[in-house]
Amino acid sequence: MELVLLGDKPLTQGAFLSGEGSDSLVIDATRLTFACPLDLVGIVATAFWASDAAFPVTLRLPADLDVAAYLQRMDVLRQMPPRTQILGRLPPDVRADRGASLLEVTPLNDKNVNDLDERVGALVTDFYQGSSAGAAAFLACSELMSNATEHGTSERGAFLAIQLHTGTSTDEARLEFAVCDTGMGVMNHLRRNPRYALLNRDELAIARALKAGVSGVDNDRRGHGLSDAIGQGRRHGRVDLRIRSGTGEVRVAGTPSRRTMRPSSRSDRTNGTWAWLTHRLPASSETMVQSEK
Amino acid sequence: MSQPTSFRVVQLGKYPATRSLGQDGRSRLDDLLGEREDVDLTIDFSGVKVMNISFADEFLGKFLTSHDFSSHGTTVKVTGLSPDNRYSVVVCVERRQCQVVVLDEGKLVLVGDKMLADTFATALQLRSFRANDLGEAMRLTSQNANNRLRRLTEVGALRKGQVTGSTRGGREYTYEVVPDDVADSEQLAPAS
Repeated sequence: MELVLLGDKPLTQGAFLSGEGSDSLVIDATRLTFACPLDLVGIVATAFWASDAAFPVTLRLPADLDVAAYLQRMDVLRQMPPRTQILGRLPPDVRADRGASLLEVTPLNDKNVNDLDERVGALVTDFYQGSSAGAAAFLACSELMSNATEHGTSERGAFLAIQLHTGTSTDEARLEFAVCDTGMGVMNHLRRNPRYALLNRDELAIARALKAGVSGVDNDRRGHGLSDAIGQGRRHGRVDLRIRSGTGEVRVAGTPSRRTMRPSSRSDRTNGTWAWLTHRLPASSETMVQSEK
Repeated sequence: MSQPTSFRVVQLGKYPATRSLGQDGRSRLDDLLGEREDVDLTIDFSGVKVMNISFADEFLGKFLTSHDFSSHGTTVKVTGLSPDNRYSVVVCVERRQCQVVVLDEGKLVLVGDKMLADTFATALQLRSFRANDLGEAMRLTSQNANNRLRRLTEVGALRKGQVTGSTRGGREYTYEVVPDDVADSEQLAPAS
């Protein structure tokens, strides 16, 4: 199998896993020019899925040394499965303290999720200067983390990463968050509830899971996590959430006045559930985060 | 004599956000109450920066719906809520169709049901009263007033006490609203 990561943010664009059925995995990041948290976490989650199936894993590093250094700084190389073959050049690992603007690729499981909530909570609310937008953004991130550890559990676990952009070096201030689990996936989870036992398309299952009150846990007034993540995010800004699971993908975009949802099918299979959240403040907001820009 | 008792939620974390943590906190609350009678329980969210709705539901929503507080004469109120955390509490009690008294800047209000909130506001003015007093104040039938009082005692907004030596025959009760002060949490923290 091969995952070719080409250009900017390839896993959010069109990159897909090809050659399913072969017994090795090559992640080719040679021509990667810009990586977002979903790319970083997606690389590690895909590698762990392949490694768990006893496939040898090879990672070809970006030819651009700055991008290779970024993968190294975000702990992609450190979190790859043991015995991963890493090919390419790396600059020295220089680590400036970026604790206020990022969380490196980090394993997430039911043992450390509460500790990680404390870290993510402080990181996100500080970025938003303690405003309600920060509370809303943390709420969204934490609901996605809970889903990964509660419904997406597997021996391989899950991984998350965060990048906060102040807008000084990129086009706008925003939070980017990604969590990828290697669990049963959205459709299989929902099917545990007899009410949704007949679901048979991943994108429809994801779309269903985004509605309030839909859960694989029956009779417990639950199933509001994803709906709350979007609802809270759009109350205080613009939210863009993409969820991939199985052969389906759903993209939700929300502003205080509008919400759109776009389900689609994919040519490859995501083993588990991947979520990528971007949150931006409303254009009229006058917070310090934006004034830095 | 009532026993003021306080539970500081921040002991669970500044950013509590999982159902497992909510379940842990709810178990600690249950242990704190035990079989004690006449407890004035304050659930204090001071120091909690942000909690999500899933945690609020598992911790508070399920705690409120799993108890009939009138059976042990318990009163319950929550305090120390930031506007964002108050929103999470309101959402969770509305979804669970339950109610809770919130102490906010020295004022007590009941959230979760408009009709009961109005009844509680009237009860606050009466402080200590009988069902007939509430009926007269709100122009309710005796049955309606008693129904509302029963629901308010079940959620811990009021404490019911039986009047001794009633001259009217049968049982007669007085009602008192949940106190608007907060116990010293260090003195009354749950046993670890």
